[in-house]
Amino acid sequence: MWTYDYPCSYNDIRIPASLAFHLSEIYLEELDKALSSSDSPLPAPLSTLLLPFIVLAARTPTNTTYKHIQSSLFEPLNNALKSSSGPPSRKKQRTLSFSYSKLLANACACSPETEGAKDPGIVRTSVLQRIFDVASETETRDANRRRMYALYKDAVGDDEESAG
Amino acid sequence: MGSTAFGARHVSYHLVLRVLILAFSMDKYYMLVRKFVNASFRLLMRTEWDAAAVEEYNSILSGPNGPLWWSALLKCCDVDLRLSLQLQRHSDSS
Repeated sequence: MWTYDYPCSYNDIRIPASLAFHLSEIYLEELDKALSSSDSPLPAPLSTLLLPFIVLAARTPTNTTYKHIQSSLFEPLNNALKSSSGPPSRKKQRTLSFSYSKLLANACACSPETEGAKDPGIVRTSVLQRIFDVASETETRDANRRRMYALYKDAVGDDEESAG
Repeated sequence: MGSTAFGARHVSYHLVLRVLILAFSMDKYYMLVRKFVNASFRLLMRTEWDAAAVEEYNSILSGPNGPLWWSALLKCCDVDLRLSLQLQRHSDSS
């Protein structure tokens, strides 16, 4: 029962990984729902709330875990924050109608009381900066550091393209 | 021949049933996780996103034995590292 080949094995790495995957999939959705359930809450400190996932992405030895966190958490959030920053357009509203509407309207970087609700563009920059900072830490694995830098570079490159 | 066929059908029926039960119980478990995550966010909102509370919540998620603890996801081949972590935990607790 408690050997490598059974589902209850404490040495089996797949079980905790699946829980981490599930958490990364539902995290933002549940944060959005929680924000919707209250009338006028303070903005959610998004870059602080994402820290456990950023640290996991930086330190995980498995390729799959990093890829899953990036595809289920970092990329959707980056896209949502990016498309909702700046002046609203009909196309943006269409693409954004499905998710995170409450979260995008009521988020900040770190300290809700002093900052207040920030523009999604500013929140996005702070989240990207947090990813960059964690990637620069010594505990981060080299392979993950390269991917995190690439993610940061792509996101910043997109900004420059759209500004230019 | 007949009994073998019956046996095979019997085994496959049980296998399918076990897989279904496992799938449903995993769904229920994941739903429970979802409810806990939602309740945690509502609790943090009630503290007005108090920095100490958010930090504590993060430490539950990514601390030892938490669901996002990075070293819980080590590869099978990293036995030495895992063993050293287990020893470290053992010496911390004793």
